Amino acid sequence: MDEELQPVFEAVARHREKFGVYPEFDGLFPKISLIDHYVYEIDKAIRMNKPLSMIEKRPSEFNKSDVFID
Amino acid sequence: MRKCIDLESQPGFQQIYSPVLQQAIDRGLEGHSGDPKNIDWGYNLPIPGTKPTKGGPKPKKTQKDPPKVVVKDPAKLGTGNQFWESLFDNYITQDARKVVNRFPTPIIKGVSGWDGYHQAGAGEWGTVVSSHNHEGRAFIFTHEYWHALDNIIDLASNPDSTGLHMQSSLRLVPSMEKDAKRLGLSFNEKVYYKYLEDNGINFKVDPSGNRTIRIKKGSNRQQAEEQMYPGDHWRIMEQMLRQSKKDLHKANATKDPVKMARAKKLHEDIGALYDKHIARLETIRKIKKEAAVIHRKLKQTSQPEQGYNHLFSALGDIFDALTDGRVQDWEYANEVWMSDKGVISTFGRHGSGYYNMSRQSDYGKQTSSPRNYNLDGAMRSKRAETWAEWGSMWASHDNTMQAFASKILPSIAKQFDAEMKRALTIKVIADLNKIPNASTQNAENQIDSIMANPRTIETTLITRPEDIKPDTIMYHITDSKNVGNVLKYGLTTKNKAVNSRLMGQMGSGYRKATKIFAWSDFNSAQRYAARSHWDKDVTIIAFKSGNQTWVKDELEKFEQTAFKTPRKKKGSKPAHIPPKNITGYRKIDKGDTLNVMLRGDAQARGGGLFTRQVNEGKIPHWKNVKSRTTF
Repeated sequence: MDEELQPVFEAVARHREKFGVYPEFDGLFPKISLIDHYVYEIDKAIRMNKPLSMIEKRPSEFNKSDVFID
Repeated sequence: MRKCIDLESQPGFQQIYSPVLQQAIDRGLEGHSGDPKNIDWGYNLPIPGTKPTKGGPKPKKTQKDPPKVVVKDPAKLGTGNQFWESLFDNYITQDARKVVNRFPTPIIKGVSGWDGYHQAGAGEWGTVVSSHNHEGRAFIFTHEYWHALDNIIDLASNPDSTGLHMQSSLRLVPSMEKDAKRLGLSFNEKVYYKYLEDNGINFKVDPSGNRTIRIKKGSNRQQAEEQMYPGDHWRIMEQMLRQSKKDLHKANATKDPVKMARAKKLHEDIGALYDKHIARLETIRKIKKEAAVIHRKLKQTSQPEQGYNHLFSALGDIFDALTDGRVQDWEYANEVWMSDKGVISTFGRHGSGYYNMSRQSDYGKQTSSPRNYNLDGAMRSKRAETWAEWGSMWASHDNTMQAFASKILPSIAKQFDAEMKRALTIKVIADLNKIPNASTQNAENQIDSIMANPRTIETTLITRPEDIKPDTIMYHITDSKNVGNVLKYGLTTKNKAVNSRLMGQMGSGYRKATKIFAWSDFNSAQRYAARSHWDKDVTIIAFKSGNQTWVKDELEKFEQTAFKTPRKKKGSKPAHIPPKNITGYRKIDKGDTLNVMLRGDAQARGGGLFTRQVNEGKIPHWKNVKSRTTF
């Protein structure tokens, strides 16, 4: 698993280096088929100079405890 | 012109990986000696100001529909859900489909990209939202559908159901506790929270930084946890150990044997708890290593669309739940989250705060609030996700990950099997709705279903108090805030705002009711709520009348099914519907309003609801809202 996640580790490290915080993903994480997606989103956040927080982006109804994400 | 050497043919050049160097080359050594305009790079220079892009192009989504296959016990999810049926026919077992087919179908909504969630309170049987175009869509749909079954199995089969959501997974809890304790994943943390309550804590997270963790003395567990950001739970654990050691030295200096013994005991207890946290990290590492071997084999032997490569994360998430999400705090505090030294973050997990009462995010004050405000809420997330993750493994054609999980977590495995066997045999008392898909259902279908309702519903309305029998189901509307009290004490005349008719009429606050108001007909109650309380958060409660007597509510002139309890006579007991008579409750929502509109619209078209076809002009509809025709 770790070898598959290597690109994500590197992207997360870049995010931490740039913003000093971890990127935040929602739901079950990590999903193997989303590795490209994670790297893409992290690098997009770095390019846009805005830390990645999918928790912050999600609709407020997701914060209710009767909603189960992924 | 300066001549460049051919770097690529130099020994060792291919092994160099330096984004900084690459960027400098791409930008033409800007800022270095020499003018890049004079250098022959062999290609056009990028436009100044552009930044290097990493991570490649945006990931592509699959649009391919699952193949049509002929299977035993094909999935039946109702009209408009053929795509989802096809996913189940292809990717889950026959037994799993049998379970699916025995129960009503939730609303299913397909979305683009990787997304999925389940909302128990949206729609009569909840709502499943799932990706329809991602390669792992079979996995995510199965996962979400098992959340739905957690909700539906109990609601549809339990005649004493109180209408509470996500109750089926409750029966998993003892087995979760048993396995977690046996493996040392869960343990008593009383000393931790007792310390915070007795002493509070106040320290700088990083001596050079500005952030201070401050928890007031006297804070209970919930109050303490809601102050914690990701990682803080472990930072506090470490500080507690340091502080208790200092306190022990101080106590020793006093030479007071009582103080010394007390401080020693506290330090030892905190140390023992610390050690348990560390020990469980090692346990999870070992399990993860073994699971990774299975994962690699699964990847080699399965197709991506089967979603088997997600079963590794599904298993990891169960361990995240069993450890209350606290291993993640250790990772955050030790700065190894999502690195090769990560434990649960590289196995499978939900977000910070998902399984406990801490804050969910490091970002933004508005979104950093906790998800759960009590231990019941945290436990609900833990059992619900364990149920759904195990369901994904159980329903999978490939049994290897489930077999491994069963070896590690035998009690959960046994209980989950028992629950699925029970689901296959239990008497289902609800109608198998197999409702059309929300996205394909149109308003005409909805109004047709109303038109198709037998007229006997209206002709058998109870309009006389003497016709109300102990088993008669009646409906009461109340402020949603009162639901807890109603479930605990039943319907009484003492609770504020149980008097639905007067609710909200007093400006600020609600006045105490002297009677209980109710309807013998669901549609009347629904109409009342949509008409008079459309802007409030109200709940409809269904209950059996029992021995309570009723009189007509004459003030409700247009509602023949409106009743109230009689004026209390001196010395007699006040009106009361005991909690055991309450058969269900749910919030009034847009679906109710839509049903009222549709019924009103049909009546307005002359002759009313039961005699004329309604197929001309516009019919009221809301996107993705299904008319609620029943309780």
